[in-house]
Amino acid sequence: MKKSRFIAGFSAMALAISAMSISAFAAPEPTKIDQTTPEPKQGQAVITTTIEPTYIVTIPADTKVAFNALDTDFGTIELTKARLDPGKVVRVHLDSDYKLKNKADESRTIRYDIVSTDDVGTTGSLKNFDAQLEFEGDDCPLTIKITQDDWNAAYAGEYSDTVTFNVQYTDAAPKA
Amino acid sequence: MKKTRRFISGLSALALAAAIAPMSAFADTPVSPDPDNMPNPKPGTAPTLVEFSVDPTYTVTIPATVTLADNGSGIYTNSGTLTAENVKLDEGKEIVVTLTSASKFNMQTSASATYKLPYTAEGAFGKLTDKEAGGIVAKFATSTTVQNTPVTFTTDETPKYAGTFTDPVVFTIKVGDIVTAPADG
Amino acid sequence: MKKLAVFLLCLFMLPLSAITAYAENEPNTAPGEATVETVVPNSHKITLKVKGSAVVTVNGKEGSEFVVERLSKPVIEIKAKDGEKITKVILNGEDITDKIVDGKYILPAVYEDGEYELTVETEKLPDDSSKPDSSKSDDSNKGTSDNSESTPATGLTASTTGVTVTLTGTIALAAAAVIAAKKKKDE
Repeated sequence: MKKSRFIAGFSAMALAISAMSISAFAAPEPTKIDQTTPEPKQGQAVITTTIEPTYIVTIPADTKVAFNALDTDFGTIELTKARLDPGKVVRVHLDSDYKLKNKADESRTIRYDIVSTDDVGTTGSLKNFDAQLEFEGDDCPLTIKITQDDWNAAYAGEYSDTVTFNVQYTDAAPKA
Repeated sequence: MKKTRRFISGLSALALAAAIAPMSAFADTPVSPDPDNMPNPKPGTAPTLVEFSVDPTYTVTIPATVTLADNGSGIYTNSGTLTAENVKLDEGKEIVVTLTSASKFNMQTSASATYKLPYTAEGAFGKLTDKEAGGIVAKFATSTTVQNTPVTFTTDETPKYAGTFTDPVVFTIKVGDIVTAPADG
Repeated sequence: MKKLAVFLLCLFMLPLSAITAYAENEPNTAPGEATVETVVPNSHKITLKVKGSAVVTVNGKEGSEFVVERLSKPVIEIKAKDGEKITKVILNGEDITDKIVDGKYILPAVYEDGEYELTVETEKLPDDSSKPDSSKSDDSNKGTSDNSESTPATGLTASTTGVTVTLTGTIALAAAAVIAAKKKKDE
C-alpha cells in the first residue's frame, strides 16, 4: 500500500508540475481596442519565429596512400545545410595515434600526420587543433604527410590506421 | 412612524418633480382648437423637434503573437488577423489601422545580436514598402457583420542563424474620413 | 509498480530537448571514421650498369636487373678477368675501392628501386704471371641469391703455372699467398 501511495503521489506531483508548466507559458491575450480606449489607440503584437539549428558534417572517405608519397590528399571536412545559433560552431576533433600499423606485426609502424588549414585560418597538424566550422560551405581540406625517412625505414607489408572524427556543436573559441 | 412615511413621500414627490423639470424647461406648446370657428375649428399646429444621438462604437481585436513557420523553401511566414466587430461610425467615417515597427521590421534573437532577420508585412493594401514609416494594413467600415483582415508577415531572406527571433509591432487605430483611393503603405 | 514508476519517469524526461547533430559521410569503415592504408612493397628492383672488364654479380647472380628483398643489403662481387687485376672501383661516382673486402661490396639497405653504375678499372698482370684456369668457377659463390652475406667467396684469383687450383674458404687464401710468394721469388 505504501508503495502504491508513493507512486500515486508521484503521479499527482508530476501532473501538477505539468499543469503548472502549461499555465506558466500561457499564450498572451489579443488586444481589444474600442471607442472607449484612450488615445493613442494602439495595440502591440509580437512577430516571432524559432529556427532550430541544423547542419551536416561530411568527413573524408577511406584513403589509400601510395608508397613513398610524402603528401596525400585526405579529402575534406565540410559543413553543409548549416544554420547554427549565433556564437556556435561545429568543432571536429580527430582521434588517432597517427601511426600506420603493419597488419602482420603491429609493432612495425609508419608515422604520419594530418595537416590542414580551416576557415578561421588555423593551419597545422590536427594533433594540435580542432577544425572549427561555422557557416554553410565552411571546409577544412586535409593532407596526410609521411616523411621520406619514415618511408625508408618502413618494413614491407600492408599498413592501416583508423581516424575517428568527433563532431561537437559548441561555443566558438574566442578569437585572438 | 407616520411622520417618517409622510417625510419619505414628500421627498419622492420632490424627486419626481425634479426629474420632470428639464422637460418643462423646453416648454410645451399648447395646441387647442380655434374657438372662433366652432363647431368646425381650424386644425392647430405646432413644431416639435425630435432628436437623438448615437455614439460611434467599434471593437478592433489585434493578435498578440504571430509565429512564423518555414514554408518549405527556407522562408518563414504566417498571418495574423485583425477583427472588427460592432462597427458603427458616423457617416463618411471609417476605421484605419496602421502598422509600424521600431526596428524597421527586423527580427533579432536579442537586443545585442548583430544579425537582423528582415521581414515584410502585407495587409489589405499590399506590402508595406516603407519600413521606416510602416503603413495602412486595414480599414473597416460601418457594418453589423464581423470584419476580418489578415496581415501576413514573411522573412525577406533565409535566416543565417538559428535561434528564436522576435520583433514587436504596433497597430494604431484611428477613425477618419473615408478616402476613396486606398493608401499606399 | 516498477513499470509504472519507469513510465512516469519517462514522462518527466519528455520536455527535455536535444540538438541532434547528424554527420553524413561517404562509404567508410564506420560512421565517423576513415581508414588510412598503404602497402610497402617487399622487394625492389635494382639495375646495374657495369663499365669495365670485370665479372660482377649481385647476390651471386650475373645480370643487369635484380630483384632484392626490401631492406636487404645486396652484395656486389667483383672479379677481375684472367690476367687482370682490379685497381679501382667506382659506384655511382663514389670510389669504393677501399671498401671492398674479399672482392665484395655490401650495398646499404635497399628501400626503393635503384640504379647503380659500377666502373671497374683493371690492369693487366705482368706477362710472366701464371694465369689461373678461370674456366672452373668457384662453387662457393652459388646458391646465395637471397642472403649473400652469409657465404664468403674469393674475389681475386692468383695465377699459378699450369695448375688450376679450385679451393674454398681459407684454404684458397692460403694457396693464393703461397703462389704470390713464389712469384716474387721468381722475379
